[in-house]
Amino acid sequence: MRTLWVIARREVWSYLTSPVAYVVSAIFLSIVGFLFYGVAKLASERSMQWLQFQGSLPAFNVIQLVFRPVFQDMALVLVFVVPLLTMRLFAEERRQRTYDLLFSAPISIVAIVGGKFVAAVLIYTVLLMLTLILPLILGQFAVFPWTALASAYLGLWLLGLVFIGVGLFASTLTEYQIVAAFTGVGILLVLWVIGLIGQDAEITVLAAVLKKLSVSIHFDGFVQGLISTSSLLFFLSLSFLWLTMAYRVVEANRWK
Amino acid sequence: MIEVRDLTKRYGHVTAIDAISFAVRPGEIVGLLGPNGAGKTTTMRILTGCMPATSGSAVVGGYDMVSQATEAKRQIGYLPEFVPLYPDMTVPEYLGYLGALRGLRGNALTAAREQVIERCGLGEMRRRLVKNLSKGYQQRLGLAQSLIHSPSILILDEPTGGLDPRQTAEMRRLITQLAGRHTILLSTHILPEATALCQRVVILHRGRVAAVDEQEKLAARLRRSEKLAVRLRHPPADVAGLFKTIPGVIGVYSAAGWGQGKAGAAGESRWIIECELGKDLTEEIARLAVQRAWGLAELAPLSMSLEEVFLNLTNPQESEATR
Repeated sequence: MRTLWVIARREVWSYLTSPVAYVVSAIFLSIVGFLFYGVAKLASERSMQWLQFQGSLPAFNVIQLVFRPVFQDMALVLVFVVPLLTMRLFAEERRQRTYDLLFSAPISIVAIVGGKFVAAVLIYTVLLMLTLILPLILGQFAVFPWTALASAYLGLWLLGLVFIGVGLFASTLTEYQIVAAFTGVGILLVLWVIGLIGQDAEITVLAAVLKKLSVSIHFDGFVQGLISTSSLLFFLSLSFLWLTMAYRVVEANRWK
Repeated sequence: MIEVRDLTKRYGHVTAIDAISFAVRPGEIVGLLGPNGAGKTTTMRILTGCMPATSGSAVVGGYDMVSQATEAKRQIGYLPEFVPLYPDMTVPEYLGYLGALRGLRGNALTAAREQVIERCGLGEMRRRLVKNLSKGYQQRLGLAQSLIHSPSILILDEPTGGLDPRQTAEMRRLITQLAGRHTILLSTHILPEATALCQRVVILHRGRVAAVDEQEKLAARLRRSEKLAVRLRHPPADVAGLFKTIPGVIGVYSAAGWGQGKAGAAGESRWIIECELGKDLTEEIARLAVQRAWGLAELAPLSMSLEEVFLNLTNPQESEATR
């Protein structure tokens, strides 16, 4: 457990001293800011319309109008951003041949995988907290459903755990960071598309199963302010699954 | 301190090491000697717990590498062949991280770090990033890393590999200073290095132990004979037997695989002739070859650095015979 923190601390330090994390954060934050601005502008136009045609339009709902589009878009941006954050974690150890340092030290592979995961989660959490500035600004001008916002952020954070798990797994597969990033994005896109198929398919058994497996549908529940145990467990067990797979690959690497 | 019994490692169908057994006693410096691909690195990676063996056992410092891996790993400092470095760290950061991985904390960590920096002569390089260090200093940093938790056993894989002669000499001096405080197993493919540093030598050849010998005996064995390399264009069928008729010749070995210089013409063959120590039989051999018109193309003494080639050429039975 202590070695897990040693590894996590080193990985956080490594994030803070390399430019990748800053560049990725800057790109992520500017895209999110742009999206947020667009959606908020649309929402304000809609509310003006609503004032003009009182009652003849559906009720004004800040969750439907602002949150759902912004958070769905943010999640899609994360599909591309998270693998960039995680690509280095194992690929670089393999390329620099530093795996042997970790394997010959009296530490478990669980601590290695766990430490790297914790570090990525910490960086990701900070990244999410930086985006909080947008709703804080909006909160100055409107009555704001803060609890719904908290639920949406919890969903986004849990989604991030899954994404980081996938990215970590992708990073164990190769010694090239770029390959790891592309693999991660590929897996995440498939996960995301499963959700879309589940949404659009007609009610068949397959569609029902896909819907239950869909990352985006579970996430949508959080965005609408619904924290369900099944969604919570779904995200936690899914990230655990990917971490276990990463663990298996690292262990298999010892045999080469 | 190290006990290896019937250790075998297979990669698919390739057998990297085949039932090797040897032991290293406390305080000893033992060299693992052999040409590239003989299984030295595989053996060391198994001994350090980086890689599991296919079968056989390795007991390090009294702990079994499979059932008591964590305890066993605490006893070992390991310098891999390709020094594993984190290029974006400074020297103290790198050593601090690896010390922490080995369980050192707080003041003990700082003290251990400063001690190995001093012992390995890295003081001046303190502020540099690891990637900006010269190869010699990187190698020293690798050694420092293996020492940080004061292990009782050091496993050094080609500690002088890729260094220039001056750096090699410094590295050897460092290792000599470590002797006595640590039990050391080091690998090399350079024979003089093994004779200079080690008390005993384990010779690996194609994944098997070809010989285990004390340094004096090994050196004596190697120095007991002079070796000459001969290239003949038209050798007779029984060239080995004919060479042996010259007084002073101990053995004649075919060196067909040793393609030094020009590609061999058809019918051309290479031989290594082992002669008694102190006798220069160059003239006699030349005379014999010229008189019989064997097409003498080359005749040269085999220098120490080519001993490695000799080891590669002699199969285990022959090297047993020359003892």
